[in-house]
Amino acid sequence: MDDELYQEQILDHYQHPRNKKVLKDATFQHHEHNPSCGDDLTIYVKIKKNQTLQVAFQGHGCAISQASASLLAEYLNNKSLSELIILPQEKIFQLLGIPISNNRTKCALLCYLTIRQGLQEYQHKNQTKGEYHAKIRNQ
Amino acid sequence: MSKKTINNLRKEFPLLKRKINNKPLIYLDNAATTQKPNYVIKCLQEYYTKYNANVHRGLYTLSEQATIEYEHARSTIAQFLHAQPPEIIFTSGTTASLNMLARMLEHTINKDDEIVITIMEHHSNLVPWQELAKRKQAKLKFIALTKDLYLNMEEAAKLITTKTKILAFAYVSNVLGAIVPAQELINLAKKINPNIITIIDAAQAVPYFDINVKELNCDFLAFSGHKVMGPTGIGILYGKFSLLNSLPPVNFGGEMIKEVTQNDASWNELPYKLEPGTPNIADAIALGKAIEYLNQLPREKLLQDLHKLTKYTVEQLQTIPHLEILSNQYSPHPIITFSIKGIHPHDIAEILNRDNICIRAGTHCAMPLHKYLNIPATSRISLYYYNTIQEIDLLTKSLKKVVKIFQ
Ligand SMILES: Cc1ncc(COP(=O)(O)O)c(C=O)c1O
Repeated sequence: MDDELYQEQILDHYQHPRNKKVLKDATFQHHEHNPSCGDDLTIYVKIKKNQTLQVAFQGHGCAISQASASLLAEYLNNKSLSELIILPQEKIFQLLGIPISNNRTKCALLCYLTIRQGLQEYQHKNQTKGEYHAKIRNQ
Repeated sequence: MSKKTINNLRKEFPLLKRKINNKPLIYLDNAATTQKPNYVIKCLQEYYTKYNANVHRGLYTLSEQATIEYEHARSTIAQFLHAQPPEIIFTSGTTASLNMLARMLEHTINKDDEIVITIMEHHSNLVPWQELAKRKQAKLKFIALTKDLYLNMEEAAKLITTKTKILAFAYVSNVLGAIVPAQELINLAKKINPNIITIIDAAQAVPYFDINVKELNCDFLAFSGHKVMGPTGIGILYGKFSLLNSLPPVNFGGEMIKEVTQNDASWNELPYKLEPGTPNIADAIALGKAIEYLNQLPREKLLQDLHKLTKYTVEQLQTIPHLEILSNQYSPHPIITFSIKGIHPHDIAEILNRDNICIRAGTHCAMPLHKYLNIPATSRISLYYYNTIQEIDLLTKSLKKVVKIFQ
């Protein structure tokens, strides 16, 4: 089958997602969904003592939305918090490794939107506590 | 209908001839919008090249001609629905008709009054009533479905009470293809509360079968032109003359007034009272043409064939592993909603698109229904008179490919 979009990597991550679980002790988590198509995603991020990340997700939806979440979680695991902070949107397309049409961009970027929102809420909460900057500085 | 007749019919729809990547186009999203025949397309061209002018205003030939054609379209549509021309209001579509109606009826709703709709409604026949209920602290109630996905008439009889001021429902569900026994439901409602206002969302009914507002005895009915071979941006609100005449307008401007002073205004007669401003003249005329076109088709025979094609489609879909049909399998109506285990509708639609097959994926503007049926999102095929067995065979082949990719 010469179907680029549904090449093995994406199908593999869709059918055998990595890190698809609830992180009970997550530092922050965020839920987003795309009501028009029903893609649904919760991302859990745990910031470990050494400031590296553990990322997991739960959800359901199309192959693109779920495979991107799985690829993103795999990519971010054991990366530092700063790497998440500077993560560009393009990284998702790079991880998917295939051209994404306009009408599927929303599916592909659901994981990005979810983790960004979660991060922002977390940053906001910590900024007010004054801890957050210290944390970043210490990295 | 012979193959030749269908082929001749298809020839009148230029878009159906389109090829993408050298493969023919297979258009199976007719519940979203239908394709347009030359008869309608040419009329738009003619309006803009020969008699584009404002209506009801100019004293010159062009304006007179535009006015005649615009009012002729109204008459054609009135006749089609078995109504009178002043009972036909041009709007921009079903959504606009229902929103306008909700505003017009606002003053009749008081705290604790009830508005009854069904769980199958398209958002456009749900949110306007939900908002009205919120503004007036009224109660919005939903009639549910039977196990085989028809409207539960027994429940309807219990839900509708003397406090129910409005009953609004889709004649045909755009997700399930279930046809509501409209006349029976209206009779039932009027028996419980003779003053109830009954409203039919006929967006999915008008393209397929005859509508007789006199027989249905509905107070209002709305539909969209683009779903019945007409252009986008034009639709109809039908209302009984006495009601349209007594209800207040909610949009104001030119043409809808009789007299204006610095402090007050009085309203023009029907239908102008409810059509303020320059109307969508070209598209209204073209909608008239679409109805004329529909009227001259051998509709009864075409509909019979469409029912057969629907049955054939259901049978073919049932040969696909892990495919579950979620719409009324035994309903002849050509809307088929399905899901395939383990494959999201977006992925199905995307892969079918590689073969130029157009189907709809998502929640079809009916989120409460999906929630009620406990399904996240679905795929939908909807057929029209010009679809063929060959197209269904290509669809089946393509769906088998989808299943294979995800195996
Ligand atoms: C049952 C039903 N009601 C209302 C609408 C809304 O029609 P429109 O978007 O043309 O206003 C649709 C079309 O999607 C429909 O299927």
